[in-house]
Amino acid sequence: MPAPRTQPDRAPDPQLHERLIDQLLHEELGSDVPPDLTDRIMMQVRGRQAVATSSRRIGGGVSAGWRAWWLPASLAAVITIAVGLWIRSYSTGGSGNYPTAVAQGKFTVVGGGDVKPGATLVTAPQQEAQITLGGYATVRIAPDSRLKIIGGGDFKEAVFLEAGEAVSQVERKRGEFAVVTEHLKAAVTGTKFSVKVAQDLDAKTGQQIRRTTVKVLEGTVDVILPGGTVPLKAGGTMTYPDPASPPPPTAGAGPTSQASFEPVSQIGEVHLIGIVSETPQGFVLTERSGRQTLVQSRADRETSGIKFLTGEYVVILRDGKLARAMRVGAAPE
Amino acid sequence: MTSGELEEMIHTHQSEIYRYLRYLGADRTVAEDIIQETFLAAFKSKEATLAEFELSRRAAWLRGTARNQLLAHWRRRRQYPTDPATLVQQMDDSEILWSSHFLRDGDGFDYVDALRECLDKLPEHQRKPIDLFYTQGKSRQEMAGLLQMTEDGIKSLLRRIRKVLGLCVSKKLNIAPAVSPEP
Repeated sequence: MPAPRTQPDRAPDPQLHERLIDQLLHEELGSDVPPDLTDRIMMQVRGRQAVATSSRRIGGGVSAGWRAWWLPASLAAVITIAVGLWIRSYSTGGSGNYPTAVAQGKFTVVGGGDVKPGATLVTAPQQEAQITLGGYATVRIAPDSRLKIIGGGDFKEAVFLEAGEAVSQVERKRGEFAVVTEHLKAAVTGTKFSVKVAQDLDAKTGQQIRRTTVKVLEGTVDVILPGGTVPLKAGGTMTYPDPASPPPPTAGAGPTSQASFEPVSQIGEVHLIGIVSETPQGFVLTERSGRQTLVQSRADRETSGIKFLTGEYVVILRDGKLARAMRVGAAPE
Repeated sequence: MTSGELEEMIHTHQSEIYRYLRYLGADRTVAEDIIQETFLAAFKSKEATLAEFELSRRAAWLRGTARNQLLAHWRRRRQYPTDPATLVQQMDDSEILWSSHFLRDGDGFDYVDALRECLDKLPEHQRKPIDLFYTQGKSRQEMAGLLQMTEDGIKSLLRRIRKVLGLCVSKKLNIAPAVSPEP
């Protein structure tokens, strides 16, 4: 085992210290946010476990009679897995590797670099771009928009639309895809839909307010709001916060929107998007609407594997408990 | 170790291992690949009945494995960021800095908090270049145009500000400074 080295009295190399500061600044102020690789690694583990199980069965100390039965069965299992992997590989372009993000059109990548998970793409008022994620989700980014790729591959692609409009087309039965905004998450497995984040005048307060509008062109979209999920079918449109009533909404605007919002603690999975900051009670997430949720108490911080920094997060609560958190931006000025 | 225990371990440590690898000089893609290999190694390792480890020892085990994987990656590619002898020394030093400075409170939060406070106290002429480079993602070339300086000048300026921040953090945490004050 590599032994931990500690030598507290020794002054560190100035170059290394500068590199540490550099990395922390990139995380704190920029977009170099640590990725969540849990699903990717667990998928590998499950794949290896399946192969290991087959191998053990083939070679294990079983009687000749059993071996005669297990050998062909195990070989059949291995062949089935191999064919399955080949079909999946074929369906993703035949390279055997997961397809990388492909971008076309006119846009700028914030901070430079490639179009890949973690990158933020910006289109100017006269520019338009298109990205393809995982080989199955195509996102057209309208002019004057800002969008961050937050999916990590493995057929679970997602983007965070900070401003403007994105029209997405997702091939059926290829993988998951979601557009996340400050207000909601629109999750699909095969459909065409648009999501728009825009500012307009609130009729009640007379103040400017940002809203997200989801419009479904084909198929069905699950619109996940802080209070629950609204299934929206083709032709349906919904805006959040609803211009007609203050949040939390009582109904979506789409023709099939039957919103019935349960308390957060009773819902399986809830996504929150907002700024996380530290308070005496613990870490609190403040949504754009002003609603605040204690996502991690001080006591939980010691035992939880999730360490919050101040910044913008997408937080997933499962049965009222913190399940996942992904930092999607630095804290605002 | 069960799959559930592994999943919990990934949740707990992946961010730190990512930060550590980036700090060692791995680019984002390489860091992600190495994180995967590190946790797969932990899952396979008998030594890594890591659930029995206390958190800090487990983190040190993972950092050591990740560091070795990164060295192996550079060796395979024959693309060392510096000559191999210096690199080994640097790797040792990097662990010292990490464990005794960055993680001195156990999770690095103190260090990050100190850095935030130091950032808040930066005078405008130093804060502006930091915002342009890190927050707005401007290139050195773009910054040179905006600040009426040469690219080399921008490089030196950013380095100087990082040194100032490093010194400020060391002072706040009462640890041996890694940089000398600017003359």
